[in-house]
Amino acid sequence: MSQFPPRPPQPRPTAIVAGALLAACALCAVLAGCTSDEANLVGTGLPGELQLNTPQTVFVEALSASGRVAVKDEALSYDHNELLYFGSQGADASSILAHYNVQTLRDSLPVGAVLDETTVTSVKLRLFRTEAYAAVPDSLLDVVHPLLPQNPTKVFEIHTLAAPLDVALYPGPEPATADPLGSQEGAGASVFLDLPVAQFLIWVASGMNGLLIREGSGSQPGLLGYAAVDMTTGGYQEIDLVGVGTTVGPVLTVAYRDEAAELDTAFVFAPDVDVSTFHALAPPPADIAAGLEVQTHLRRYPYFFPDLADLPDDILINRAVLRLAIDAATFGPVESLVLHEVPLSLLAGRDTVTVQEIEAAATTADGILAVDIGQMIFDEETWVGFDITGTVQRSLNGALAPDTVLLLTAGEEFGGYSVSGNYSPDFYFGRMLFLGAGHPTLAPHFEITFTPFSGGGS
Amino acid sequence: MSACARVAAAAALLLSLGAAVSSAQSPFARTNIGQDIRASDARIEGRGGWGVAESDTLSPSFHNLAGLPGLRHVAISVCGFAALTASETATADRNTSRLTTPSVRVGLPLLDGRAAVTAGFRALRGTQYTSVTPLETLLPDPDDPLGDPVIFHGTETLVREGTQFEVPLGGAYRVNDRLSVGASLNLVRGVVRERLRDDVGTPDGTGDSPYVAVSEVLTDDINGLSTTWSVLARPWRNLSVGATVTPGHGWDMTRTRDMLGLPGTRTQAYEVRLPATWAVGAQMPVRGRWRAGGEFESQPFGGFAGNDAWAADMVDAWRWSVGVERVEQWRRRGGWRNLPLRLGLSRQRWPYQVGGADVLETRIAAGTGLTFREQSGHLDVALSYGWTGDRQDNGLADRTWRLTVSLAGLERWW
Repeated sequence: MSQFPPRPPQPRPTAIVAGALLAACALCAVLAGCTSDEANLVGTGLPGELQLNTPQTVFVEALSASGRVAVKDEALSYDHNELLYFGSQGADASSILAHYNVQTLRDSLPVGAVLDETTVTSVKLRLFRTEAYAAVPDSLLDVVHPLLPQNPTKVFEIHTLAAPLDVALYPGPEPATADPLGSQEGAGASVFLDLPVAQFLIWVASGMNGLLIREGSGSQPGLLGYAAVDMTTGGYQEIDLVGVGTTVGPVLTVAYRDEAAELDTAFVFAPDVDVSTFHALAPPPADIAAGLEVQTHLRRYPYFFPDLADLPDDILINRAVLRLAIDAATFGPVESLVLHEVPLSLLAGRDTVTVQEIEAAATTADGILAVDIGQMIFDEETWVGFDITGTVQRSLNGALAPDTVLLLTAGEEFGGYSVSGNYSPDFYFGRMLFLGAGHPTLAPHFEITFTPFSGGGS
Repeated sequence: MSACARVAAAAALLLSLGAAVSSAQSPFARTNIGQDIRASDARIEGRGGWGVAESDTLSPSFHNLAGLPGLRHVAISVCGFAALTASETATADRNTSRLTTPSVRVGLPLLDGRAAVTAGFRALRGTQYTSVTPLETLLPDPDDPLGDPVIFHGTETLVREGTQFEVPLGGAYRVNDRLSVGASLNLVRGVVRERLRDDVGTPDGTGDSPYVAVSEVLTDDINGLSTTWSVLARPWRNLSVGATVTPGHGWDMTRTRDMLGLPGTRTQAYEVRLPATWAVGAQMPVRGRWRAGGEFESQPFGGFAGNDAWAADMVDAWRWSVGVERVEQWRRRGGWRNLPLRLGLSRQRWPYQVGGADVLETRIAAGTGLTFREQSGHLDVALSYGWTGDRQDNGLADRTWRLTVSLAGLERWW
């Protein structure tokens, strides 16, 4: 069967080899799929063995765990807060406490100045309202925020304290007072409260335990924020109508007559410490059925986790969204909201945890930057939503620690939702409220869309 | 190793790399057991597909192992094809291209040419196609979660891919001048994989979907063993007849199902039974340098069992081919007239129905080739054009250009 003919003349193999390789390369380049059209409908009528299930959506309202916890930043003392709250808003009420050091008062006096009834002509207590509470819109906020009081008229009562001010007692009940120094009505971005000179001098002579500035009867409702003396940190451009270098806080402006110089002059005497009493605080919702509360400044955050037991096995979560309906009783400025995955063991059974503990244990599930609930209420929006698809999927996959809960917080500095447009949650007092599980139509729920694995269950 | 053997090895590597990025073949291959992509030799392709009755020691054919005795040198043969396919349905069309996984065969002479052993690699069937379908899904509107669901407009993408291949280890023996026999043990491996992905889309069909896409993968890993028996005889003058048979055998299948995003997979083992494949053919010189031949191959897939989804559409597959060849000559200054010329026609029925009707393929082919210096090898090419399916009957029709290249190198040191 072999057919070897006589040896013929043949072309050089190198040329053939080169040609063959070139042809092969060209084939690879042109025909290796790179010239195919994009996939389209052609071929779709052919049967395949794989059929995906249709997504379905369930609304889960049941929770496997819920609660609330107070959160404290252990790096900051309570009196470190940059705002002093005054007035009342619903069940919340706060007065301002300030302490002045008599020794530094002496040092502050001009050389040769003597404070007595012949030289002191007036004493005024000045309060600097922060811009968010100002009646006139300014640069930081385009409009006066709808969830904040609109320039209410207040009656300011000033009392001396019966005992030296101890800031460690606050927030707490107002301290005992000694003598009233006066009462005055005021409104606006800054208020100047006249103090009687004689009583002021007596108070100075007695060692200056401190002052209580309390809301008097006849005030319009509203919890206002005034600058504290330590509000000197760069970046807070919160004070309305003050120039660079102005000492803020509840300062005393003392005018006196320098007889030697035949000159009327004044000096500003700043407190060495000031604090809000928050002697009345609205209680948090009794339970998750009553509502969810995210409170800033005096941080108090809710936690919960959906009961996923009724979901089938082997499902892919297409989307899982936590829906919270806004409660119009919300109060406070714009703030970010963040959902953290946190171990329940960190929160359960504890009244207070620290921000640092949460930061160490938390993983961010989702968040919303700069939630303007006031605007949302104005726009008649109902829901705030958080995408927790990954969290639910990992929980079902067993990849999430079994005691994980979702902690809803304001935009803390960790977690990716703290931006320059938001203030630290310890700065403003705010209370974002959401309707509870007991609400007949707008209860918080988890909207879970899933697709069952077509090969599941085998 | 001779230059031609090195070329053959390099070509095998190059073609293999090319095959790894191949994109799509006929959409008919997007289902069932896949498309027949055996490529044994460009000479056979050029003649329409017949070659079971052939023996040629210069450019050895592995189409029938019984044709290997008489081989004087170690032979390395590489063959692959590239195809350009234009497909159309009533509403859409698509052009695709594909470079197939090449076959590589080695033949080793023994007993002074009376016997030969062989090993190699050959793709059997392939499925490589992607289709995209519009998808409509009723889901809650993210902007109105408690309102009525709205229709999301997305896409469903199905990718089906995989190659079934065999590694034949065989031998052949020349009983006498008129009869040779051969046999091989074929290790069959392969995979068929379907990946289906639903992208839910958005209500207006633009932008990113708020819903995570669903994707599942179904993989059948194939592990089988078959034997092939062959015979080649010259019963009368120069008439050659040949036959091969691969008895029915089983494939162990491991089915794995996986859903993207879920841990673990679901695995199931089962077995499929492949029906026997047999082929008979004949060839003989007709006039001068011309010879004619024909071949018929049958694989009654109606007897396939083990995968109900495949078996439901299966029918008995057959293929017949006829053709002529003007054999090569080495006359001085013969020019183009020295080259071989091959012409052929084939028709086959695919092993499964589409759209409730048989898939019939008709192909015409032509080819030629070139012998290397000192008869150290052979380069052959074949170009064919085929019609597959019918738009009325199958809902789909193909027109395919196929270029087959094979390269055989002979190593003289043996």
